[in-house]
Amino acid sequence: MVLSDQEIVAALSKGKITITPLIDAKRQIGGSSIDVRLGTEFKLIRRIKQTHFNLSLTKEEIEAQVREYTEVVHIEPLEAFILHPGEFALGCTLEYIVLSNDIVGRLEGRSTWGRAGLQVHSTAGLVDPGFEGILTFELHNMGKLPLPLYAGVRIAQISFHNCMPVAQGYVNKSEAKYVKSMEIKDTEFYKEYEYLQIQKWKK
Amino acid sequence: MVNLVEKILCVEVLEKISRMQRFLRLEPEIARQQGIEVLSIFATAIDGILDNLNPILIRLSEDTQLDTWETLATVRRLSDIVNSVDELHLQLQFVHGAWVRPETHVFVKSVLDFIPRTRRQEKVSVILSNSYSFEESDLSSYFEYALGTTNVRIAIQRETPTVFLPKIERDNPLNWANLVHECGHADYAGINELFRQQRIIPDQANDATKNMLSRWAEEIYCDVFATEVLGPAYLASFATFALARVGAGGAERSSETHPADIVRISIVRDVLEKNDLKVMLNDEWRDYGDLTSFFYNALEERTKLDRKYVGYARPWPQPSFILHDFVDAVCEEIDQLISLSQQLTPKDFTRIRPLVVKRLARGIPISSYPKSELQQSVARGSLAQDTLKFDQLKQAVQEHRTLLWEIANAGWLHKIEILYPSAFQLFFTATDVPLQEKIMNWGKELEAIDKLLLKSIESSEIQRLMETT
Repeated sequence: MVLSDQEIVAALSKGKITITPLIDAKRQIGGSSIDVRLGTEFKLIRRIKQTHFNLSLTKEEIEAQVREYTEVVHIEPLEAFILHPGEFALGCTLEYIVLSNDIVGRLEGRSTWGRAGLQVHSTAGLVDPGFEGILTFELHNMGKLPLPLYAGVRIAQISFHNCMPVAQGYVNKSEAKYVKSMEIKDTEFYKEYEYLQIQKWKK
Repeated sequence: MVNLVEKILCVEVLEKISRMQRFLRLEPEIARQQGIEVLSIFATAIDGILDNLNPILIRLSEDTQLDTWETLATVRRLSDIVNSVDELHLQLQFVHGAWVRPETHVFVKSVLDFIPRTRRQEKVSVILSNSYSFEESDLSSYFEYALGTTNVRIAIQRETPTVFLPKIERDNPLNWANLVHECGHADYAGINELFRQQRIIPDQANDATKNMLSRWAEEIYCDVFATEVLGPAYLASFATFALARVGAGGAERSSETHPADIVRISIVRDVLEKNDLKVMLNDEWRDYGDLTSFFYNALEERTKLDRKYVGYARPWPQPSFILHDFVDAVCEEIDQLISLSQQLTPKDFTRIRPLVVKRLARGIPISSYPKSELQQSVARGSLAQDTLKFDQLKQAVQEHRTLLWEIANAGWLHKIEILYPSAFQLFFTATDVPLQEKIMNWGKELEAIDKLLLKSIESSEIQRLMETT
């Protein structure tokens, strides 16, 4: 069941959910969610040297290729990041989030920004029990006008669900790739075991 | 713990090397491919430095107390190694590197906020420097001078205070504490006021001495400024910097521009004691007292040993009889003069350990911390149904913003209590793991704490902006 505002406050006070910094609890805690803010780091897609991800390369070469695929942009407080129509960029929450092993989070957009055409995630909105780190936004401007985005602005919200305590929280999973992350990490699809198998078969 | 100071010195040298390796990795991929030969020279030079350091690490791994002469030889050798790292740092002029981090600007801006608005500089620029030194200079004056030497006279006619940060300290907020001192130099109005009364320079001094003492007075002013902004974290950062220079009488050596480090650090300690600004170390480090005494005693111990090694009286560049009177007069003047827009109090320091340090140890950024008492009452009490009461409950889970000095002091406590023991375990335990691999692992730990502190500084500033608007 989705946690209500009262249950969220109780979970925060008991440390089952940690959201830091929680700047303005009165405004941020809604009926069944907490608003989260935009951080200062972005990753833009850089295609000029890429035709495709080449899986015939070694792991180190693919890593280098993925690094080349994105460019880090760091804005200062009060500096705008302009997301143009049709543009895709990775962003991150200002907040560092810690969930206990019996709470699942779901990242959602906020209506205010949705109406302006801003999508905060394309497909990966689930936050596993036991997660620790900042959350990555998959920002996409679906509107027709450029959007000026500032660090500290509430662009998304997280709702929470109770679950039975999981046997292995996200931070303890051997496969977890984005544990305790403090910055936006590039995709690590090539570390998925299926891709490792494909590479093996191809050789 | 046996040979603690020598171990700390080794770890500080290894940290510098690790940071240099990280800085070299910042080169853009394309530059790395084209400049691979240049980068390989650095790699070979670092290997050479490590070969020199390794025998010391092996000796310290034996965990038996060094005798006096062995200690002197070890410290002297470590000092040579520090000099070689600093020399290699100068050669970073040959690599492109990276620009200053945005968090550094946030840090400097937060420091400037301590200076009253009427005399505050709007902007102080930060530039990465090839030499391993923290400095401040008015770049406009410098440009006028530099172009003037070509017989083309220009007048820029504005003040451009600029502070210089060593390249390898780019990502290290703990040592940005030294930048706070440099920002003090940009308090031009405050420093002018210091000299207006003409009370601090002794009449009997000649012109050269008067000139030197004026510079010293400015340095002391900046030390007091940095201490009042950051508390013990400034002493910690300054002392580790000074410790690395010990070995050839470094801490007792003054220059035309700076009083001796030991004199300056004594002044800093006195300011901290007078204001009762103290953060205690945890139980495992109880014997060493608080953050201030930990580093002050380490430096004093080293300095005493140095005196034995340098068996001759070092000439002071000024009559020594005036030193104490001069320092007293300067400190008294600064005491009356310095008026910051924010003032640290002993009470502020009580919350660092239970709330901030604890969170840092868990690997969580410390841009804010929970209101513990209120949260507990929320956890105990029943949930409120009426809106007004519920809004109060919400306020209870809102977090306090962590201030800059809290982040800095918590970071230094973390370094002593968590990072040093981890480094001692890594470097002073006999294993087959190659030294390079150990440095790589140590580098990962350093990078993790750097990221935590950088994120904390930035998020704290955003919280300040959101709260004040």
